[in-house]
Amino acid sequence: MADFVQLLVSGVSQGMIYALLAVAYNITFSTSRTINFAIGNLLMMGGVVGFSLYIDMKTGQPLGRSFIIPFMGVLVVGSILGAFINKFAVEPSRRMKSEYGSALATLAVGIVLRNLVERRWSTDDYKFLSPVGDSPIRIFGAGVYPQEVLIIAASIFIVVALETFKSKTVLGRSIQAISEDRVTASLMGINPGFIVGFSFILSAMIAGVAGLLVAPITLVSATMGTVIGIKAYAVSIIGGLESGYGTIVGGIILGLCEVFTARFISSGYKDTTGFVFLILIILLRPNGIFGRKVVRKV
Amino acid sequence: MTPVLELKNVSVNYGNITALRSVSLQVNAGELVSLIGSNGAGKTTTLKTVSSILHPKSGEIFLQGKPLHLLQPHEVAGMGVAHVPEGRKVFSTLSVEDNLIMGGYLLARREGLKAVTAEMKKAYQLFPRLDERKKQWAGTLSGGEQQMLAIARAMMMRPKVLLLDEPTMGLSPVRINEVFQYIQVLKDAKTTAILLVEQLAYRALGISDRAYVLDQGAIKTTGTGKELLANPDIKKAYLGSKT
Ligand SMILES: Nc1ncnc2c1ncn2[C@@H]1O[C@H](COP(=O)(O)OP(=O)(O)OP(=O)(O)O)[C@@H](O)[C@H]1O
Ligand SMILES: [Mg+2]
Repeated sequence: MADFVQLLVSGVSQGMIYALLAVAYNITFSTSRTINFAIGNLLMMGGVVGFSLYIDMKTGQPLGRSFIIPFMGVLVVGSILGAFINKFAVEPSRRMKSEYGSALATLAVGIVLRNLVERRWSTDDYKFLSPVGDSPIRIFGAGVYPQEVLIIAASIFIVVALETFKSKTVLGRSIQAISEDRVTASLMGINPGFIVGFSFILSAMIAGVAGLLVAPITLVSATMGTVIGIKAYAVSIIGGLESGYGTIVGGIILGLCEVFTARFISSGYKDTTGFVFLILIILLRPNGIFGRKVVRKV
Repeated sequence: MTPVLELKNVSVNYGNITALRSVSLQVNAGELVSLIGSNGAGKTTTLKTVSSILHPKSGEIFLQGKPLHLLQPHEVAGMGVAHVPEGRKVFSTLSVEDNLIMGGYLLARREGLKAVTAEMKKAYQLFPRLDERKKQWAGTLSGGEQQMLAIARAMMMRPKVLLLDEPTMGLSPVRINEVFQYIQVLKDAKTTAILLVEQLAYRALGISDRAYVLDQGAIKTTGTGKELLANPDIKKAYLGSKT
């Protein structure tokens, strides 16, 4: 039982990170119809920037600052990178009307970011001491890391806040309008360029925060975003590319699969079962778990 | 007096196909002007060029004397041009209410949400059926209801000129009558000038102050609604059906 609770919390918290990144993929996909393949490395930037502002690299000990500082730092760097990617990778590809242009350009930005971090920062792995403590707390006799609980709570908050923003505010609704019909939305006075730029900033900030959240349970390094980025991309597809809550379900399924496989079969098969599961869902529900086919009458 | 909307020698190409040849037309304050012509005459192209979805190869377009032809679509909307596109194009995954709020995007930015709510109330008064269905996805409305929504959504920005592209397309005779009634109401309110594109030329001319006949991308004739209704050439070419 204790073991089960422990695995459950680990799996769900891992899954919520996938869900957050999947949401980051979704926002920009819905407004620009392009996939931002730099997302994994934006998560990495969140981890690295947060680490640098919070932990002393030489001693590995906290610098003694409030956690607000790395948090704000991650938001600022994320929004700059999001705006940069839109301006210099996505917009030029749109102008060239090249189908693969923006996929390649965003992939390239991601690789450049990773190389920059390797060259200018470090090629090593670092332990990021959790701001909420690294000793397990007892829940139902199980030892659960406070950081895992923080991840779950923060991720749910972010996804719910985002969905509420999208359905309850004028700006949020215009993201949906642009995603459904860019030309008609522009006839209402909505500037598509502005909405797309805004969505890239929002998306990069979410990816950065995901990096800050996951760093204490993994390690901080220049390569920390690579595999997570690919898995979250799969989750964004199974969640239904435009459904925020679908990604939570998809993420949790993947997280649980991995944790339970690692525990009961072998950690070597961890990635395999997760991907088999994802492939099954894609075959059974091509529009994703919550994806809906839109009825459009003429 | 400067017209609300003025096109001066506007020519438009699709690749090397010429769709409009030196089209000039005017819509004055409070006027309902219709643009009629057979399939492929260039009516939709004209409206799309006004709202900058298309850009003219040559010629100029003015709203109250200010140039529109160099702007982007959202900027043209910002100047006060509302365009109800061919095929209605409601946001099918948004609710009826959210569609109206999108129509009020500019109003919300300029005057805040209160103004949007007030404008929405007016829309529901004019179209009670939208009020009953305000929480419903717009994609699940009937064709006639979608057309009402598309018109109501365009009026949310309190436009200076309203462009209507075949609002009766695909509707049953009863719904067509309804749409013309609503257009009459909007005309009588005199809050916006209207440029109406219609296949049902007979009906359109009946409620229009003036009209232009477009033929293969060029203006063929113009006159008041009454004059064109009485014109034997026009009768023969465009007024076959008296729906
Ligand atoms: N995207 C396009 N590419 C190439 N040619 C086009 C395009 N859109 C329209 N055309 C051509 O331009 C001409 C004018 O088209 P337009 O849609 O403006 O006609 P219309 O008067 O609105 O016709 P309808 O009554 O059928 O809606 C037609 O010959 C049409 O084939
Ligand atoms: Mg047309």
